[in-house]
Amino acid sequence: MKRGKFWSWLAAGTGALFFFLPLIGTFEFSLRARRGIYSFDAYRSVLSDPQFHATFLFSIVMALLTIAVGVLIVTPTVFWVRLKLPKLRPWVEFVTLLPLVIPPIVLVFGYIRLYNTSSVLPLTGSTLGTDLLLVLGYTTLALPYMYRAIDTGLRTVDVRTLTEAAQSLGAGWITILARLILPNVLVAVLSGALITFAIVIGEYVLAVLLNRPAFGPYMVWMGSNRAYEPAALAVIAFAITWGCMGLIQLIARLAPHTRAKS
Amino acid sequence: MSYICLNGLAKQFGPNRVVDDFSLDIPKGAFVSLLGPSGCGKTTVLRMLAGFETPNAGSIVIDGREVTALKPNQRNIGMVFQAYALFPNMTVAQNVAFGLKVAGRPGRETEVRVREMLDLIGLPDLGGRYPFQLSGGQQ
Repeated sequence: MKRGKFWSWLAAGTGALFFFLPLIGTFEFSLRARRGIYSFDAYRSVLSDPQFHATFLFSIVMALLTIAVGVLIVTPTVFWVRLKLPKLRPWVEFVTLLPLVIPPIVLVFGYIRLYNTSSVLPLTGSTLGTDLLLVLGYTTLALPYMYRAIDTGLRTVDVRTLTEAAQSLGAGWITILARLILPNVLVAVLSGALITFAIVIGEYVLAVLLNRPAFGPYMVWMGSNRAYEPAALAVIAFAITWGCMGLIQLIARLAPHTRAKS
Repeated sequence: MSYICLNGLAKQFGPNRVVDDFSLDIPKGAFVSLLGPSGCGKTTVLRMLAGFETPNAGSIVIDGREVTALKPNQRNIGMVFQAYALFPNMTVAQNVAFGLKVAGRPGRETEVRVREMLDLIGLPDLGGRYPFQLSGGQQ
């Protein structure tokens, strides 16, 4: 028993070292901006950069819109496939996996070819149209993760019985989706939302080729022009991601019915 | 005078014809039990009556109104499910109130009715609990 515990701790410790050492190294490097002493100069420099604020805000707005579009598309789809079209499930899963196989550059060139200023739908001709394309592109990139998260969440719910019970009480599809399905897969939706958020915040190809001022291109620009600031940016990005995960845990705790499943 | 009329109902799942030319007239207020061996179609008939399955043939008339093509939420039929079918994200009181809320009843009336129902089933103090906090019997 003791021997088993030793190996468990060794495995956990090795894993922790594997994950934390690079982060500690990055953090340590980010503090070296001032010669000879540790300082937060790189963080100050990043946080006072107006471009950081602008790009970060832009990417956050894009991420929130992407999450909203993703949830609105994926939740009813997964629900409907589970309820009415279970035979189509493998095909839908295959389609949702396509963004992992098709590189984003193919997607964005397709968008530019289809929606350029001389096309029937010239979305790239305006800022709003390009932002719409960006959100749709991000939604596509996040589709495999969002779909799987929500599908896994719905597996824990007896979708058919609950839907039929609600229908027999007079509820329509929108009521069922909004008041039964979504609240019951809240934690799964939030997990999908977190992954979507992380993808959008770091995404480079779509943003740069659609020429939008997103955080991904800013990080790349920073990486090729500065020394310590990119490390500080990486640590900030980690902090934001962990903050989001903490927020998800908090929301999951605030929704009492989810405790039964955890 | 029949209140519920099932006329020549048939239902087929793939090659299996589970209900074939089933007819039944039920007067208002009658207590009817369907008895038969497993797989003979009892549940399917009830599901067709509630609107969860569409019959391949036949018609369903309730109180003189043809409801065969109506959706389940338009039929005003209550159904008790074998697997409880309690909404996990709602408290006991919210579960009881769900139908009334969907029907757009005023909040005060719903509240009174929920209290009456919880008193009736002997669970007046459990309105604030979630289904997972109840015993099997209470559920």
